[in-house]
Amino acid sequence: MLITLTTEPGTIGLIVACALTILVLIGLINRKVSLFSQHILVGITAGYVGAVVWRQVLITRLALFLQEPAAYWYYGVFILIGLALFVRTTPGISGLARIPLILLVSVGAGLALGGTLSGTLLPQTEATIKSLSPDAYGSGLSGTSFALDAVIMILCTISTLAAFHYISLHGRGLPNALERISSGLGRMGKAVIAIVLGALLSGALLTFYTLLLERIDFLTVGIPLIIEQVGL
Amino acid sequence: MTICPFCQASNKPGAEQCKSCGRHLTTMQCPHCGATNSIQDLYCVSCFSLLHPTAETEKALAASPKVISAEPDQTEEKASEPELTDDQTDKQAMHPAAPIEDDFAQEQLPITSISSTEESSWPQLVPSPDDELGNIDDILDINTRTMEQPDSSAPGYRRPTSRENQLARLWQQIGIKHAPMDEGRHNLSESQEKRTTPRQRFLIYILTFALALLPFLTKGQITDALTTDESASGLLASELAIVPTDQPVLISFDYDASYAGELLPVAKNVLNTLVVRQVPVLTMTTRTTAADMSALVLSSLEADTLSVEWTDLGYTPGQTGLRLLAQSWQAAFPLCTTESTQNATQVSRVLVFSDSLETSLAWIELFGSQVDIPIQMVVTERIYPLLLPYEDSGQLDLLVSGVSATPDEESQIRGSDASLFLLVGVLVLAIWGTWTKSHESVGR
Amino acid sequence: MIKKRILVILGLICGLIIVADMFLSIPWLDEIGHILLEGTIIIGGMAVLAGVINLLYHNAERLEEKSSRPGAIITLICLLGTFVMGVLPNASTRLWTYEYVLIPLQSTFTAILIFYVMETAFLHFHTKGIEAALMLGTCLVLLFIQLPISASISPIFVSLRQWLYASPIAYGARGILIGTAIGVATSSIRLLAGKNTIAEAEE
Repeated sequence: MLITLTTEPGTIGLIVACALTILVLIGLINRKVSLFSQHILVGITAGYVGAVVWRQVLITRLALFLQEPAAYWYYGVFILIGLALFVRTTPGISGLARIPLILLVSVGAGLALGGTLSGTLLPQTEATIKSLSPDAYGSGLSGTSFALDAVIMILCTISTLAAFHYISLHGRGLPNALERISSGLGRMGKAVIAIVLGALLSGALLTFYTLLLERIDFLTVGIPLIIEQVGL
Repeated sequence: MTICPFCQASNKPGAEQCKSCGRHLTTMQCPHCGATNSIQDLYCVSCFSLLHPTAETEKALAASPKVISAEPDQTEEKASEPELTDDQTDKQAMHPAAPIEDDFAQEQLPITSISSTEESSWPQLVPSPDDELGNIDDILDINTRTMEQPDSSAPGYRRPTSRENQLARLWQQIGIKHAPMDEGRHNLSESQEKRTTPRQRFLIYILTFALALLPFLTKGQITDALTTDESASGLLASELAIVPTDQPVLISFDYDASYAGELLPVAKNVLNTLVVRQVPVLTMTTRTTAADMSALVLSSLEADTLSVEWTDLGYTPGQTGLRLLAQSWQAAFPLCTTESTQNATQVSRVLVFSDSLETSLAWIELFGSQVDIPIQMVVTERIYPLLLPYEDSGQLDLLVSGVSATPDEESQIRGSDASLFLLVGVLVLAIWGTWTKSHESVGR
Repeated sequence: MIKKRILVILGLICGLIIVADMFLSIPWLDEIGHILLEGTIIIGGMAVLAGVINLLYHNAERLEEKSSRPGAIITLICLLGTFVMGVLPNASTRLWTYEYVLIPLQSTFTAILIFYVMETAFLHFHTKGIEAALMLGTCLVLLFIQLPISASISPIFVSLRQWLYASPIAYGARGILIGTAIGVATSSIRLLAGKNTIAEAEE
């Protein structure tokens, strides 16, 4: 359970970890301490992320390009294009920075579109299309319960979608019957969304509470250990 | 003595922070854009919205008239209402004659309905000739209308400069016709109305902290920890027991240090089980802040179990990396070569530890939709409900949450008590909040 | 100056190649898609680096202001120190920083969110409106039925929990996901069509 005691920790490491944990907790009631810990977090995280990207993304590919320029010519091309990001504020050539940005945006959009279509829209829509006949699931109570489940599924999914739809089309002069159906489904959809949000909220509460318990667990084990190791 | 503009508490001269509410006495954040401003600034240096909204300004904005007299009337300024405070957040309680809704309704009135002949005690808004925004009204064809009246009795008040007046008025004009200022003001009023007092906040924090300490004292004596085979940890264990030993398992540590408390114990347990069973393991991550997570987990394993084949592939960036991984092993990890596998299709399954919906979806959409390999996920309880449809549709082979799959018996026992305390705590806060709300309504 | 139209066409081509590559199996398309993805990884990495340099520059500028100097010094020391430790070949210092600095900091910062969630519970958990009541009710029911004590009261609570997660919650989440996916797809098409691409690039 205890994270830091797994790798034969040095006493200094334990002291630093405990001090930082306490510092952040004190930051809840003291703004200066909170700001201090935020500055440390920003610095450490940015430095760590920068180092990981440098070591595992850029240097590896640059090395490959330098070793075998013929095989990895495109690494060189994209490193050059990427360098254009750094001239964003240079007068006269700042427009060059648009090229890497446009590549990032368009490839990102392409991945999002392709991924959403093949990974969510098609499979999830397919999973929603189920038979409502009890006979399709077997005879007796089992078949009926499966059919009932299919009804619940279709109602929940469509009403949730209708809630999105209803919000955007409400008051746009739809025919009365359609407006009424859309409104009714939308209201049901909002109720379903509220249930999902309730589940998400309970999940968030449990996650954050677990993290706090883990931190307190860390302190309750770590502080006596520090005292023992330091010999106080 | 310095008076806190938020809670009116007295502080020592030169104090930077209020001893009562803890807020800064020298700087404040713009409620619209979040930029830091000096407390003396009337308007935000970044978005030029009003920093010190008062009941008086809200009321005046709705009902009042416009502009153009000479100097502000000091007598009226002194008589102006005090600013809203944390303890007096309900504007309606303070100013029943000017309910919030009415303010907004009146703001929607056409500008032409405002008399331009009424007397005004507000600062003159005539632009100076050298001001670059001097004839902005002419350019935009905006009718002259008054700016919001500042609370000149507020500590550190200074008159806005000509440029500040110009820009603030311009924003206000846009706000009346369109959204930005209007919405900003509305949000501000709402947030003020729903803010906790320092006392309430303190009590809530104490209660929450007590809730987190109690499980360590009760040690599971209140409830019994019942871990059955149907529990998530049992499910995960039974899945791990049937993993073939002749094919490697790809494990991705896609949670950053923030959620290590929930997922790291499960990850260690899974790794330990696989290594003991002599299953070849490949590890990787798509999160920059989890680049050393596999090394951390590896270091926690028993030394004698490390004879098993273990390769850390390293970091590949998010969506793009996963798309490449579905195509070619070598492309996603250029320097990493493994003897046992040439590409991702040769692994028996993928086990992802994830704390983010985006990362989980990237695995399902960009990897799972392209490669026919079972994906099993251990995720934080926070995102668990949103991934259930993928388990239902068969895109995920297994989905468990870190909270329910925790392998540590002590944590389970303590967790059962902790969940009870959390439930009680939320219930207490909900009842307290409801009671406070109805009490305030009755007070009104 | 590069013409905006050329950039839009370039972006459109790149995006379409990536989309087509996901659905079609054509060797030359795979090859181009592969190169584009590798290129995006490199450019993305350089963008992260540019962000880190920007943070460095911003904090170096803040050194001149007396009020923000201490914060800027702390950030700069932490940033440079971690970066240097991170790029050194010796992994032990990097792991030490990760285990004893980054994990306690990030983990505790996330853990204290429970205090803010509880504060929000106090502010917004009054049963005003059916949706708020439903949300609060679901949250409390789910917290209760996952307790071992609920199972000892009646086994029906275990079934109720399983049903809630398997039925209304999963199906409602499916509706949300499909709705969101439609939104993502629409935004992506708009971006590829050049509706927002240049604006994004300008940003």
